[in-house]
Amino acid sequence: MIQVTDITKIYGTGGATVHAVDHVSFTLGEGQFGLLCGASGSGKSTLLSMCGGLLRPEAGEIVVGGENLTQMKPEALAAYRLKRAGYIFQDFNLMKNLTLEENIALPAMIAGRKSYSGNLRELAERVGITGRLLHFPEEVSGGERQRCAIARALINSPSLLLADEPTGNLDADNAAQIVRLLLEINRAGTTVLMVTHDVGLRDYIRENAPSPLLLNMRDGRIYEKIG
Amino acid sequence: MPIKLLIRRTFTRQPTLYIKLFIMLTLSVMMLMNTLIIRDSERYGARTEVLEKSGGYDYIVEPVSEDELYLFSEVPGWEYLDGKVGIILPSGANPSEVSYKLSQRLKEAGSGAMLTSYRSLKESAEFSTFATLMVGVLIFAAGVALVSIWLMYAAYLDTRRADIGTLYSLGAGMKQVRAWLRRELLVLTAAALVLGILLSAVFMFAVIRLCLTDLAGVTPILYRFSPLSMLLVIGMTLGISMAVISLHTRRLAGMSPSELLADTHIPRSSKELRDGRSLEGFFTSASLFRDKKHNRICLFATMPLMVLGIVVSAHFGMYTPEDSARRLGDVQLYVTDSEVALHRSEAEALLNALDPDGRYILTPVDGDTSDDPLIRRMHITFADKSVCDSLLTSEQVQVYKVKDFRAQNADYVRLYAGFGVFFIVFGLCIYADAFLLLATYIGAFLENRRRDILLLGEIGCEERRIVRLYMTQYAVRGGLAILAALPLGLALTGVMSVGLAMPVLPNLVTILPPVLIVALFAAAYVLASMRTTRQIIAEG
Repeated sequence: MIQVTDITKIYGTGGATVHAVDHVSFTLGEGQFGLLCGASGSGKSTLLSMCGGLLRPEAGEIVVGGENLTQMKPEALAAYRLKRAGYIFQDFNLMKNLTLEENIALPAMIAGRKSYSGNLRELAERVGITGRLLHFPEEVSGGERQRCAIARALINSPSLLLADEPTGNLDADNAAQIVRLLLEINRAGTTVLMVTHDVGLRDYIRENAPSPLLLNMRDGRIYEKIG
Repeated sequence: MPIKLLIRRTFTRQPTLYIKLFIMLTLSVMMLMNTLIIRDSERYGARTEVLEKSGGYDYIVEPVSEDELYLFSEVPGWEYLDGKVGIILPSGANPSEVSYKLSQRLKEAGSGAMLTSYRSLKESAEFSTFATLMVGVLIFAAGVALVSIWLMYAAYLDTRRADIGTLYSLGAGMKQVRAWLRRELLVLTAAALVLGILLSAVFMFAVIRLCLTDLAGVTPILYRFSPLSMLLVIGMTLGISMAVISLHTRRLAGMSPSELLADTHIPRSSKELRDGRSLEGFFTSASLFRDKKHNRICLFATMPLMVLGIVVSAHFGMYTPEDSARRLGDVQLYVTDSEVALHRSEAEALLNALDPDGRYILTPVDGDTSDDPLIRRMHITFADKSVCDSLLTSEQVQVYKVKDFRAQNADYVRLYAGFGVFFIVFGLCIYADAFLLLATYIGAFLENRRRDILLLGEIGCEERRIVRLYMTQYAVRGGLAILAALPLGLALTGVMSVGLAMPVLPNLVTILPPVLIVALFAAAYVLASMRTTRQIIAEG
């Protein structure tokens, strides 16, 4: 599903450069649950952003489903984000002026889909926010916002779901519910790549995912691969 | 792309985002429209005045008795009008040839009739200096509109950055985002055009009718709203809006969704932190070196004020009469072919004979020592134009040389009045523009630093000191902007001086008022920033 080969991402110029990701390679098979773990600043979020087509690497290749992201033009990359990959952010990134329902529908509307309401209701029910659809993000809890973000990431039925510390801003109960939801989505056949620094969650996912892949990062490099 | 939904929701949920941009657009429309209304009104007024005087004729010859009508036998298109002759030349006639031949015939016949030509005035009934000035003002207004809309739109995009990043990350393409932004700005521009044109029409009607009433007779301004000018303003405003969108979306296209979402920018390093450096000094220099965007905004918001202030002030200084020696009388009398001085009492006797009511001011040009034989010139300023006309045609005055300053004087009054209107109209628009722009930026700047402000409080910095830290930043920035804008204002005054062929030299008296206005303005926004900072601390 995802084949990452020798990618590098550098921030800054001149003497103030930082190798956020330094010659990283790995492969995540279809239907697998990948976990990018490491301390803050280890480069896991940058790596995930590059897999999601949100950032471009300085060197190396990322091939998703046979398509090389690093060679894609901006419009093709946008189409990849729209149809092939769903992205979940730590701080939700919901548009505060839109209701939860409108936020979920946004990718479908961007794609120009005419009928998505059935799919939307089904997703809302699946993530448990049916009763909150007409509320604005500031009117609901953090857990509900993250569920909304998950539904939004799934509305165009992507084959890959990328989650950047989706439980980072949630309490323990909500975090557990979100992780269970992600596992359920993975079991239904969607490939998931998730970033976390929470050891407890990492162990829980390793025990419960059908085929987990654990990638431990430090200083922009993967020092350990399990699975 | 759900453009309508995004626009509708922003309008209902965050109307202030649109309102500020809308006000800025409206003010820009008003600046452009007002300039053209002044110009059209001046043109229309001058044309109406010429038509009233000429009665629609190309030439008027008067006084003409019926016995003298034979002199016009070879002139095409003439008509006798009870004591005078009006001439409308047919299209094939050569105006200069006709007027020359007629003048010669009148002279040869010893007729006292005078030929007045209205033909050229009818064709271009416009005071050329004022027209040049208005073109300059229009360019200046367009420049101010472009810069202020560009800056305000940058502030707007800053607050929408996260939304744009989210749309990108969800798979919206650059074209879709650009279409959304373009539609949004077009809707606002269209609404601003309607309101701005309407307000301009009403505002300028009031200004011309109320402020210029006293100048009726010398300032031929009659309110005129031209659809062509309106179309020009619509075209210019839409052009400016599209240019702004194009400039900004080009910048956005170069950014990745991650950059937009994270609002990451690598700050430029300031000078090294040295021992003994105060916190205020450190914060100020770090802000000046790192927040370059705010330096630009401060400079652009200050510059139009300074430039406008200096130029207007310098011109006001030029046209305001300072003493009797510089005051332009209507008429000046000389003694012709004689070494004998025109005594003041003689001049008074002459004028009394013409106007027993004494509606004139008599001023010796070179002082009031009437016995000095060198005093040979008298300034005479009349309250009534008809008295002046009768003086110039009276036989008693024929022995003197007469220099008529009335046309020049009227031109100066017109220009002075033009600057008056200019000052009222543009002062209001530009000051409102600048205030809105700075207020928006101070709000956005401090809001972005909410965490820093709260953190300073948490680590033990007193509230007073936190306020002072941010106040100092703005005061220093404002002061530097004023200093930077000063040479530009002076340079533009110089350029206008050359363009208008008038010696406009700004001095301390003319520079001081705009500097004071801008300084007061800067002080106002420093105080505003202080209030916002206090509010953030209180909320925290």
